[in-house]
Amino acid sequence: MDLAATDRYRVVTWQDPAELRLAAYELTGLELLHRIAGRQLPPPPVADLVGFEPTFVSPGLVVFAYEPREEHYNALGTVHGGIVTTILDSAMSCAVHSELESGVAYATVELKTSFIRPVTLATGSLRAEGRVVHQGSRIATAEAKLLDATGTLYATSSSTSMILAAHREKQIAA
Amino acid sequence: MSQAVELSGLDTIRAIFAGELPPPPIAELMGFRGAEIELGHAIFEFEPGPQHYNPIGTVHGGVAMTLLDSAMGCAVHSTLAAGVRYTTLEMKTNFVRPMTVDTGLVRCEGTVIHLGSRVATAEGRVVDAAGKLIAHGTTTCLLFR
Repeated sequence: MDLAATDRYRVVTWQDPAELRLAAYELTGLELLHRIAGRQLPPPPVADLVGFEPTFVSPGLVVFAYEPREEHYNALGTVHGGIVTTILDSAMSCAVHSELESGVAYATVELKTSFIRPVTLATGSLRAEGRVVHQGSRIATAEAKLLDATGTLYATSSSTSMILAAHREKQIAA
Repeated sequence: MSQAVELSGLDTIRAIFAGELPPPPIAELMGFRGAEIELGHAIFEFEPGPQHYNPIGTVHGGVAMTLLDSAMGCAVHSTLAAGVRYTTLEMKTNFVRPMTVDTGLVRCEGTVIHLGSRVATAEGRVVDAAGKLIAHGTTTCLLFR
């Protein structure tokens, strides 16, 4: 890798997502998330790339911790809204996943984020709390908040997910 | 990054896309690049990789949203005079198809819908090389004139 004297860099490593994908079919959502949080399973690659991790997992409520990084900055000198949304999406998706049986998959079909305050390096540690609002047999909805250590709100989000029942059986049949 | 307030939005983005100004750090981390810019319209390109994967074996939805926010934000920024700043107030995304490493190169187009004195809105689409829709979104930006 050729680096100029002014270049700043970060080395990103991640683990093969195949093991995680298999575990996602074999385990209940709650057990999968407990094992990721307990480091018995590798984190998903995107968590290594961006730098966030689950700190609390319970049925219908999942919390992630995130520390703002300079490489997340946009051209305006704040953390890119896409990073904020990535963390909120994870918190909501995992909250939905935490209530699913093994073999049941899900997909986020839509998500909306409101940005309340800019996030910068000076903001310090943030937590994203994702909660299930409605868990139906075919559709789930969730909401999430991004808060700093004092409880100041930085962003809110809501999402809709589709529940893909018996996904595992289809995979095996295929 | 301080040059962003001394050039018009269009000139700032043109300079970044041409490599005359450094890309924002996020573009290098996520691996996307500005492809085309004109007044009110921006296109980014992105190649999905395994590092973008979520636990369920697809590219994390946040990656598509990061692309959409960039394309829509740059479309709005391209219409702003030097010294005018903006921030994204909200964005909403629909995910139509999963993105994987097999998807190959994707394009994300952002287009301004409404440009007011204090608020701008824009829409964006993520499509694959065949033009198949992967995700689409809308956004609201606050302008500081």
